[in-house]
Amino acid sequence: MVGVSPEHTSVPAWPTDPGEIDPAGQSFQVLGSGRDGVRVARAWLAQIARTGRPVLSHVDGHTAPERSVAVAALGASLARARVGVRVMIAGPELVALDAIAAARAAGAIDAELRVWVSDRALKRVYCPHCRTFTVARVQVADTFACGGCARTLVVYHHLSRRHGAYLGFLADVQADAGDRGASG
Amino acid sequence: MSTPEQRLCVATIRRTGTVAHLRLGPSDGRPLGSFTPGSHILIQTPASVNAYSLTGPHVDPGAYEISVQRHRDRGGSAWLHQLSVGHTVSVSGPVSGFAPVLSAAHHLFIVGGIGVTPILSHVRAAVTGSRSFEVIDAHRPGPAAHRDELTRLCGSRLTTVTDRGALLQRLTERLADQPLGTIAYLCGPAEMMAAVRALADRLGWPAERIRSEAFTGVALAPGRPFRVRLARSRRRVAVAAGVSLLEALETAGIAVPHRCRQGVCGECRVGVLAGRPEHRDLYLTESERASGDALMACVSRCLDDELELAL
Repeated sequence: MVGVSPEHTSVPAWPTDPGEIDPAGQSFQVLGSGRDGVRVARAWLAQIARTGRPVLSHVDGHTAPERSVAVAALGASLARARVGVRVMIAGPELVALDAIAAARAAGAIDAELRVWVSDRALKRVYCPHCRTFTVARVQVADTFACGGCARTLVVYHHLSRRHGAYLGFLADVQADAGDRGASG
Repeated sequence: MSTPEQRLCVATIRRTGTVAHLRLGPSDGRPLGSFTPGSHILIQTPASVNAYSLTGPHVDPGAYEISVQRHRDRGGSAWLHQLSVGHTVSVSGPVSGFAPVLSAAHHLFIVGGIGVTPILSHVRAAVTGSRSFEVIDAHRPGPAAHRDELTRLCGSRLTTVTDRGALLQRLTERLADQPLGTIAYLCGPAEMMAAVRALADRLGWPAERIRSEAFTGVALAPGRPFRVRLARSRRRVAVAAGVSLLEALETAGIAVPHRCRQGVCGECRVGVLAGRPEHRDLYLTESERASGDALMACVSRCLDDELELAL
């Protein structure tokens, strides 16, 4: 987007390399999603196995219900986790953001998270007009139709980590001015 | 502390061993400001400006309460010890450098000796706010300052140890069994805090989960001479060994706001544009130190021969 430097936005620059496990970790929780995410998660699990440290793995299939089950399982087991745990997340950005939000809600901080993103094809976008979230195959600066109110939204380079959602804004404010009174 | 913010009057003074407890009240009856738990005040003594944690209630305090450990070689504490009721002292407003992390799931307080002082207001706030907490307290056998009050506040959430082996054993058990989302707060002798940090590190604690308050200024080496280049005024100033950057700037007629002159208060922060600072303060966070874009002029120096400053 013109005039905004990428490093000054909240859109994460994900590491390209899955990296090694953190040897300081006393226990591990690994979430892998999608074909590439599961491959990376298995490589991490093999490294962890060599340390002999306890590990819980949350590896999903490829359907959306299975992904949300894996994310929910991660959040539930982190609720019982102790400081010293390391959370390793590999998969599509949409799943990774949900897993990060679940880990942070359970009290994890960035230093305890390792994230590898396989692709950024799908995004959840928040519509501030009708307050719904839409998952769409879009990139930042693309336009799309909001699933809640059908307004044409631009995907803004602002990411809420709590909601795992990008912010949408109205592509053409003038065209929408007519029903401003109704929509707020 | 070039401009003391208020003159307070010693309302009561009592002693526990080598510790004097002073209540400093307003001499004009005006109410004192509330403060964040863990805050300290800076007190002007004839010898130095000293930082003391506020040990009393933090909301609408009737007086600022401090506990002063008497150090043989530090003139400020001896001077405070000989004060009596009715004396006035120059005191800064409360400075918060050791605040509670309100989002934490659990608070683990680790206390050594007189390091209890900033923890008291933390514990009181945790009790009032029904927050989950525990305290591990290490002090020498026998009576120690504030322990009656600490025991009353904590009940079964307090563990007391009186030797190093018992402390390390207890810490090893407790640091390994804290819910994710715990923040640990340390205050005690520098050597004890370093040992706790090393143990926590071995048990997988990220440094971000540990907050600490150093209550004794470490005597600093005189350091090597270096030069500074001032970007705005295009001047150069030499800093000799044994002279602080702040003093060298003052001698050159360049005013830098400052208060404590011991790397505690954060007032004399100066932007660094080039060169690598040698951080010797107790104020900047680890990430601020690593970024190297600011230093505390009162104590910090230069790892190389020259720094460029945003002055």
